[in-house]
Amino acid sequence: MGADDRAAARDGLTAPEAAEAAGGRSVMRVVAGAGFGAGMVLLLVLGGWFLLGRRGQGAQGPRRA
Amino acid sequence: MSKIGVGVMGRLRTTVLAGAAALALAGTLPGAASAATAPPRPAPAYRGAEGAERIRGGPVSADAPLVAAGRAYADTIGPGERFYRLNLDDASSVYFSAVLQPPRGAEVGYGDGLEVEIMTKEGERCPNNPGRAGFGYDPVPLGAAAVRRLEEDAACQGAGVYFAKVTRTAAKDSDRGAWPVELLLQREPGLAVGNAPATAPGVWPSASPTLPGSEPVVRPGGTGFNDARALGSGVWRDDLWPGQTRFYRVPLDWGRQLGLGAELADARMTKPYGSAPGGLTVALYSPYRGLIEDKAVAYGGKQAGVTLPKTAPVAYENRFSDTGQVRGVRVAGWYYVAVTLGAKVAEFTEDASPVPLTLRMAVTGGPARAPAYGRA
Repeated sequence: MGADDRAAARDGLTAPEAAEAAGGRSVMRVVAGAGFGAGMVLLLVLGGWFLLGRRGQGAQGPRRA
Repeated sequence: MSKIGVGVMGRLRTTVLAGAAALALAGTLPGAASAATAPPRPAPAYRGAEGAERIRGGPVSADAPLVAAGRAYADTIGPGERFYRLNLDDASSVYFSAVLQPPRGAEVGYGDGLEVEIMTKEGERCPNNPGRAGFGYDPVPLGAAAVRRLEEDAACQGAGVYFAKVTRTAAKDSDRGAWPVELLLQREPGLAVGNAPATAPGVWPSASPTLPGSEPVVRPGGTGFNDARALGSGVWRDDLWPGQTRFYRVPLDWGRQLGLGAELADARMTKPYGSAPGGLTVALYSPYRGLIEDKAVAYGGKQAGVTLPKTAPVAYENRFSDTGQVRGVRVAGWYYVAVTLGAKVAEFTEDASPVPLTLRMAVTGGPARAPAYGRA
C-alpha cells in the first residue's frame, strides 16, 4: 500500500475520486509551475517597460515656461 | 506623448505590474484552487468499472473469448455457465473474479449464487477452486473469485491456455433473466526465492476486536467495488435504504488485521412490530474480490448489530491455510466491506427515512515485511 492509498483512506475517497485528485494534483503542479514561470517572465518584461518609461519621462525634463 | 498620457501610462504600468505580481504569486500558492465537495446523493445502481470491455462468454469452452489480465470486462449471465479463455504464464498467481449484479427487486433464493473456477484445458479443476458466494434474502451485488495459485509440485503450474468457468446457480422459481456480470483477471507475481508452500500461521490474535467509540464521521458508501468509499480505523456514519447495499474499502498492509462492526439504529416504524430475517448483512471481500466472510442478523426496526471476527494478519503464507477466512487475507491491498439492509425492512419502516448505519473499524497489528516478489 502506497502513500496515495493511505491518503485516500484518510480523506475517504473512492477510487475514481482518488484518481481524479491525483490527476488534479498533477495538473495543479503543472499550472502552478507554468503560472510561476509565465508570471516571472511577465514581471521582467513589464519591469523593463516600466523603467524605460520612467527614463523616457525623465529625459523630457522640466520645461521652462 | 502628452503629460496626461504619460501619467495614465504610469498608473497603467503600476496596475499591470501589481496584477502580474499577484498572478505570479497565485501560481505558487498550493491552496489557490480548492475542490468543491458535492453533497452526497442516494447511491444509484452498481457502477461498473471505468472502460470495461463488452464481452460474451461462451456457452462451451470451445467458444470462450480471451480475457486479458488487468482489464475489466462486462458480460451478462443467466442461470447456467459461461466460459472464458485465459493465457497464463508460469510466473504469477492469478485471480479471476466475477461480480454479479442482480436488478433491484429480482427474486432470489438461498440456493442461488455464483461459482467461479479456473480449469485446465484437459478439464481438471485447479486446486483451491471454485470460489463461491450465495444470496441471502436479497438480490445484492455478489463477488466470487477463482485462483491459480503458484505452488511448487502442484497442479495448474504451467504456462498456457486455461479456462475460467462462471456459473450462476438459480432455483426454478428464481429470476431467470440475464444479469450483468463484471469480470476481472488480476496477476500476483511469484516470489523471487521460489514458490514452495510455506506453513500458514496456525495461531493468530483472533479475539473479538476492540472497536472504537469515537465520534462518528459521515462517509457515504459506494455502489460496488469500483466506487467503494475508503475508510480506515474509526467510526463512520452512513444511511441505508431498504434493499440497498453500500460498499466501503479499507487498506490493509502486510501484518495488519481488520476488526469490523456494523450497527443499525432504530428506524421510523409504520407498524408496532416488524422483523426482517437477514435484515443486516455484512460481507468482507479480498482485494481480488473473493468473499472472505459474511454474517447476517435479523432487523426489526430496533438497534441491531453484526461484528465480524478479527481477520488474521495479512500474510503471504495465509494462502496455504486450511481455513477459508485465513486464505482470504493473503495479499496486502484494498479490502472491501459490503453492508446490506434487507428489502423486507421497507414493510415496517417509513419510505422517506433511511436507517442510520454506524460502522466501527479497527486496523491493528503489524506492520510486517512484504514478501520478496519476483519480477512483475
